[in-house]
Amino acid sequence: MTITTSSVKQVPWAARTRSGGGTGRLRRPRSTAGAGMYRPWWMPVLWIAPTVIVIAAFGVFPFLNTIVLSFTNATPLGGGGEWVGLANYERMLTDDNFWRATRNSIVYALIAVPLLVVLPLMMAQLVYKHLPGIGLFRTAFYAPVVASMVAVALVWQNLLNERGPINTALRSVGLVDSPVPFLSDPVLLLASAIALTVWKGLGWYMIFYLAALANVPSDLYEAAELDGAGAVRQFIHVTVPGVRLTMLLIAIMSGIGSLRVFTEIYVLGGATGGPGGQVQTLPFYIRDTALDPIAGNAGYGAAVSVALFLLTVGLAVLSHKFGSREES
Amino acid sequence: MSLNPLRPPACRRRAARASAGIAGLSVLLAACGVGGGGSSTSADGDSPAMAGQCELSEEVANDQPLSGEPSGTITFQTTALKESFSPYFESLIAAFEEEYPDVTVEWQDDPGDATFTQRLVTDAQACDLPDVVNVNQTTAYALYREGFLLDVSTKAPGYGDEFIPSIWESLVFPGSEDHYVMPWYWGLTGLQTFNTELMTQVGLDPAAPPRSVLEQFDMATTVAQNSGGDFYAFAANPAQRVPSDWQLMDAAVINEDESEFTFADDPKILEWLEKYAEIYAAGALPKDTLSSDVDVTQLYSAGDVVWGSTNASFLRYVQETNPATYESTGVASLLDERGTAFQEGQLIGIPSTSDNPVAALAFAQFLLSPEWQTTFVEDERISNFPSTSESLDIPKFSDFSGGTPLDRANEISVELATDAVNTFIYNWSDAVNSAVVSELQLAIAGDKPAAEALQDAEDAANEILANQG
Repeated sequence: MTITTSSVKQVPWAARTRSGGGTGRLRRPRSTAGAGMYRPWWMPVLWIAPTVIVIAAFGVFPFLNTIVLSFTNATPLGGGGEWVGLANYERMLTDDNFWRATRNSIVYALIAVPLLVVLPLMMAQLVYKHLPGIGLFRTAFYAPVVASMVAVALVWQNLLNERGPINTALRSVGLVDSPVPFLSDPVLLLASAIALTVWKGLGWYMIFYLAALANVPSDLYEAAELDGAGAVRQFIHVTVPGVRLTMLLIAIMSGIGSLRVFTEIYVLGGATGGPGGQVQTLPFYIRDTALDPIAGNAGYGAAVSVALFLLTVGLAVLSHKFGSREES
Repeated sequence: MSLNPLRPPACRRRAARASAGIAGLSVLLAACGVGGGGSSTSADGDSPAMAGQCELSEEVANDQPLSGEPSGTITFQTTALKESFSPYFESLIAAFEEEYPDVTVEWQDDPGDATFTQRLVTDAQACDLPDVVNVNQTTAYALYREGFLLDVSTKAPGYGDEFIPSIWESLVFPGSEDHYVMPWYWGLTGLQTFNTELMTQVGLDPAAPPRSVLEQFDMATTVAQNSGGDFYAFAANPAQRVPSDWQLMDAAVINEDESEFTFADDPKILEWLEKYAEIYAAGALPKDTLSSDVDVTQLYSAGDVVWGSTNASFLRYVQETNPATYESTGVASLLDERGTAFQEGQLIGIPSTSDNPVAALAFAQFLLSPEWQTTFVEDERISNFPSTSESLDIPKFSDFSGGTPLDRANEISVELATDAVNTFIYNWSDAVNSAVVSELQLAIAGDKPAAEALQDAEDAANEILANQG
C-alpha cells in the first residue's frame, strides 16, 4: 500500500522526518513516555541474540568449518592438518567407492521419496474421517515413528533372515524353494532397507497430511460431488491440489532423510554396508573414511560431506522446481 | 475452473527455496561432525607441547617422573561394567579415597557399544578425556598416536613389575619403547566351543574336534552335507575370524614393523579363503550372516550353529539362556600351526590432558594392584584373567573339579595362559578391517576370485596405512 498524505493524517504515529513537511520519509516517533521508554533500540537485538548465537555456533560455524576442512588432510584426533587444495575432491571423484555410495543414495531417494509422498496421503485419507475407533488406527499407524530405529531395524532383521517368519511363510505356501536372500543379496538388501525407511516414515508424514486435509475447504468436495466426481476424481482433483504444498514439503524432507540413511543399512547389512560394502550410502561412506580414529581422514570425509550437501540441495531444488511446474 | 484454491504466493515459494537450502545445510552439518586443530605432540622448548588441540601441562610434557601428593577430583571411566559390578567399584573407590583423602573419584561407565571409540575421540577433541580410562588396544593406539596418553615409563619409572611379564612386555606400541598403557583384565583367542549333539547328528566325533582352522572348514562341509539345512557350522561373516584365523595359521599378515600388509602373498591365506567360499557355497554357513553383525552367541544358544564363540565368557550367557545347549557344549583348544593362544586385553590409560595426573596415576595403580585385581577376578561372573601374576594364584584358576563346560574352558585357558602371546596388530584399524572384510565377503559370495579379492584387500589396506601416515 502506498502511503499518501491523507493516509498519514489518519495514522497518529506517522510524522514527517523533517520539520516543515515536504516529502521526507515517514518514521515512527521515538516514545518518550509509557511502555515505549522500556524499549530501547537494542531490545530486539537482545531477543534474537540467543537464537542467532545458537545458529552461528551449531550451524554456520560447523558448515564453514566443514568446507575449510575439505581442503585439508585433517584427522579425527590429530587436528586441522595441512592445506591440500583440491586433493580431497580429486580423490573423491576418482574413487569408485564414492560413486557407488552416491549411486546407492540417489537410488534410495528416488524410490523412497515417491513412496513417502504418496502412501502417507492415502493413509491419511483412510483415517481422516471421524469414525468410531479410528483413533486406534491412527495410533497404530503412528506407532513405528516413536520406536527406536535400531530396535525396529533389529526386528526387521529377524523378520527377513533365512529362518525368519517371512521366508518361512513364503516357503510354506510354496512361493519359493529356497530362502529369499533379503539380507545377503545387495539389491534385495537395499530394497529391504528402503522398505524399512518407508514403513517407519509413513506415520510421521501421515500427520502432516492430516493437518493439510483439515485445511481443504469442504465446499470444494461438495462442488465436485455436484459435478459428478466420484471418490477417485475428488481425490485427484480436490485432495491432491489441496495438499500440494504439503506434498512438496514432504518430498524435500523425505529426500533429505533418504540421503542421510545410515542405521537401516548398518543394522540390516552389517558394519561393511552389505556384502562387499555394496549397499553403502554416502553417510556410511563418510563414517568409514572420516571417523576412524587411527586411519580416518576428516578432510576427505568433509569433502564427501560437501558432495552430500550439494546432492541434497540439488534434490531439494528439483523437488521445488517439479512442484512449481505442476503448480503452473 | 481450477480446483486449486491454495496456489502459493511468491513469498511462500521463496520460503520454500530458503527452507530447502537450510534443510540441505542441516544435512551437511549433521553428516560432518568432524574437525580438529593442531596435532603437535612434543614440546620443542619454545612452543607448548600439544595433543591434538590440547595444550599439555608442564608436569606432563617434561621428561621427569611425576611427583607430589595426589589431590583433586578425577574421573574414572570403565566400559560396560556398571550394571554388574557397581558394588566392586564403589568399594574400590571408597578404599582409595580413604587412603588418599585429598582425591575425589567420579566414576562413569561407557556402554561400550559401536560408537565407543567415536565418543572417546569427541572427548579427546574437546580436551575432556576421563583422567583414568578403560580402553581396548585399538583405541589406545589411536590415542597414543596423537599424544593423548601419558608415558607411564617416564612418569612412573620402574612400574610394571607386578604384571605378568609377557603381557607387560607386549604392551609397547609400534615405533615406541615406552609403555603408554597398563594391562587390566584379558581373555584368550585359541579356544573353540562346539555343540556336541549337533556334531554327533552329522557324524562328527565330539571327542575329536578340529585342531586347525582348515580342519574346521572340512568339518563344516560335513555339517552342510548332513544337517539337512536345519543348522549350520558357524556364522559366515569373516569379520569375526580375521585376522585371528590367519594368525593362528601362522600366516604373514603384516610385516614386522607394521608398515605393510602382506597377507595376499601367503598361500595359506589364499587356501583359507578358497575353502571359506567353498563351504559357504555348500550351505555350511547361514547366507544372511555374510555381512550382518549377527550375535554368534544367540545363534549358538538357539542351536543354529555347531561352533560358538572362541572365548570362554560367552559360555555364561549360553548357560543362562539355554541350559540344554550349555550342557551339550564341548570345549577344546584350537591353536593351529601357531601353537599358542593370543591375549586380548582391556587396558587402562591416563590421558596426557589430565588436570590431575598424579592422582590419576595413583588411582590407576590402586585399581591394578594385585589385591584389587584378585577381588575383581574372584567374581564368578568374570571369565577373564587378571594382569598381575599374584592374582592368578587363586582357587578359581586351579580348582576345576566341577566338570562343567565353564570349568573346562577355565582349565584350558589357564593351561594356555602361560604361553599366550599378544599378537595384536595395532594398525588393523576399523577402516582396514572394513576394507579387508568387504573384499573377503565378495570372494566368499563367489562374486570375485579369491586371489583377486585378497590382492584388492591388501592394496586397500596398504592404501589406508599409507594415508594414515
